[in-house]
Amino acid sequence: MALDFAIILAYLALMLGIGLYYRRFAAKNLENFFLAGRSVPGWLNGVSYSAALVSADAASGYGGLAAVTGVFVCWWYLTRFGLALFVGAVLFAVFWRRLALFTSLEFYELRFTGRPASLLRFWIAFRTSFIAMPAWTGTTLLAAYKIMEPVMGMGKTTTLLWVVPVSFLYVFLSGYKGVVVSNLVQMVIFTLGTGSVAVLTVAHFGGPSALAARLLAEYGPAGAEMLRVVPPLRHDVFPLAAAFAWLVGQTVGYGGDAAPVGGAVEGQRILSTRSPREAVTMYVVTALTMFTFVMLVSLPCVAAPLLWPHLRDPGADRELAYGLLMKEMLPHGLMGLAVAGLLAGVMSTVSDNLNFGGQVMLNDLYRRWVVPSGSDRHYLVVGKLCMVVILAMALAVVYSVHILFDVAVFMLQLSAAELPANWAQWWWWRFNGKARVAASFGGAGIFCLVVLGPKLLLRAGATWASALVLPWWWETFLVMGLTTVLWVAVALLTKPDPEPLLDEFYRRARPLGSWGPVRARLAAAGAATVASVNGDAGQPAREGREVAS
Amino acid sequence: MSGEWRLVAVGFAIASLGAGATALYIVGMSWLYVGRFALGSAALVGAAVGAFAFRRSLGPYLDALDARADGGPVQLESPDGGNGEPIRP
Repeated sequence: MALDFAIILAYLALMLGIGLYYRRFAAKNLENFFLAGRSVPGWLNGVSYSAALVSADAASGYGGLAAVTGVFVCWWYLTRFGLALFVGAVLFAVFWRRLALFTSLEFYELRFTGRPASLLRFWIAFRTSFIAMPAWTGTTLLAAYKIMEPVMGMGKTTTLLWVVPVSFLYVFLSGYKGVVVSNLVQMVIFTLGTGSVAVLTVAHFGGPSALAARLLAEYGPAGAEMLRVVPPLRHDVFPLAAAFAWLVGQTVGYGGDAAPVGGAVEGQRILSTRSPREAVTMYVVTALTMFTFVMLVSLPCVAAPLLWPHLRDPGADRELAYGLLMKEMLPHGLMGLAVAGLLAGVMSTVSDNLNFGGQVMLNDLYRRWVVPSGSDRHYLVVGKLCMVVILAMALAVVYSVHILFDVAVFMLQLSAAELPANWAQWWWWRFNGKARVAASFGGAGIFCLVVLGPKLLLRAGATWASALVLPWWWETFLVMGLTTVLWVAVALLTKPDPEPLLDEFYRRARPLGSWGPVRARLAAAGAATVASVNGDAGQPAREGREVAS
Repeated sequence: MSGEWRLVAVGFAIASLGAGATALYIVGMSWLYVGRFALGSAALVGAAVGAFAFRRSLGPYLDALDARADGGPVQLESPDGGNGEPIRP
């Protein structure tokens, strides 16, 4: 036990050292503190993004799913993020990075104009920094407690005392640069720790073939189902239709959004890379590393029901599977490494959320609405205070302020409705601010009507409403379809955004898709400019060739 | 299909290639973990081939996006690495 604690202490000291090492770099200016001077290699940002996405809650959540499904649990995360991340890489990363924004939320006032633009930027900044970031940070800290309690016998407050001060200190001192470097160290430790659990678990059963034989012998047809790699047509937890719904529901619109509720740190990862191509690398490395990390925590849990059969019982707390495996399989020393690995996952998510949430609260709320022209030093101080505010709210979530978490989950469901609009804002010049507002807020209304309406009627005693309650995957398709009809109608029935705004956006981003009238206008303007300079109306301009060719 | 939308379609095809290769890698590793060695190895070979094809097609595609931003006609090589026809956005 003393060896385990020594390993954990050494890890925490290393994190503090990284914070101290980068503190001068971070203190120079805002770009250094929040975007690491836009000098981060794509691969490092990719590992860092994986670190932000994968935490102790992945071990408990995916581990629990693996225990009640089987090997095919891999399609749970592959369909959710696989194609989506590659679409982001190939079709959007370059364009986002070209814009060279400070936060991705600035996009709204670049692409749209007037009240819709400022309303969207304000709403998403508020939602990100006051609801999503505190909620996700709080649940991550709670997941740390769920692992530390059974494995190390630590209470909630003790767990927080181990995790929070160091996480906060190194991000407070070193900013984003310290975050990405520490994320790399954390993910190496995470891989070693979780890899040990995976290897020792399969060795415990006598190797891969013996493990498969045990599953077949103990569970018969259910064991054969657990060994499938494709989700079955009928399954209580994860049927094939659910995999298809994840694929469509998560991929459509992915990459075009500035700050999705569940993955808001993505914009910071793109904008801090050295070049547009490095932003593409970021996405690809994220996909490879994240899936590897999730695979490492979920695969061993397929074997967990052999040791604790009650995990597959309806109503059982299946999320204990990974913690139980750790305690059973790991000797002292390796246990310390595995715990340090899980702490690393927690701390990477916490530090990422604090840094990004602080950046948004500072730039898109404080600087945009309160003090627009302060000094860098002033904003640095306020930015750090914003991180304190987010941390305090996250701690409130840990200590039973569940409303924030409930609201965040509810808004995550609401935001699914608007997803197709995220592509339209890049690929259709006619998509305007009003259409964006219709997608964001009208989509939420449609969600309430389709998803919540029938359930409320049922509660009120209208039994006929049970025919309107659909499986969640059909609800997803229906809500997305109706919302798309709504924003297309709004776009076509209202005026386009002003021409100068569209022209400027096109010049900066060069987006793909339907921008014909804007390209034609820019071509004509370019030709006219050169003609007036040369006195020769027949001379084509470079700008004219650029946009018309 | 216009050149603009063709670029989008080709981008989707390349993204699908990358996602497919990644899925084969995860499925292959999962098969190996439960003793399906032949299937797991075949999936990993498929993942390597897919990753190679993705890498070969991504570079020319990004070159095409750069050329488009710089104002020249877009030369987009097909995903198999062959010479494609110019795309005029």
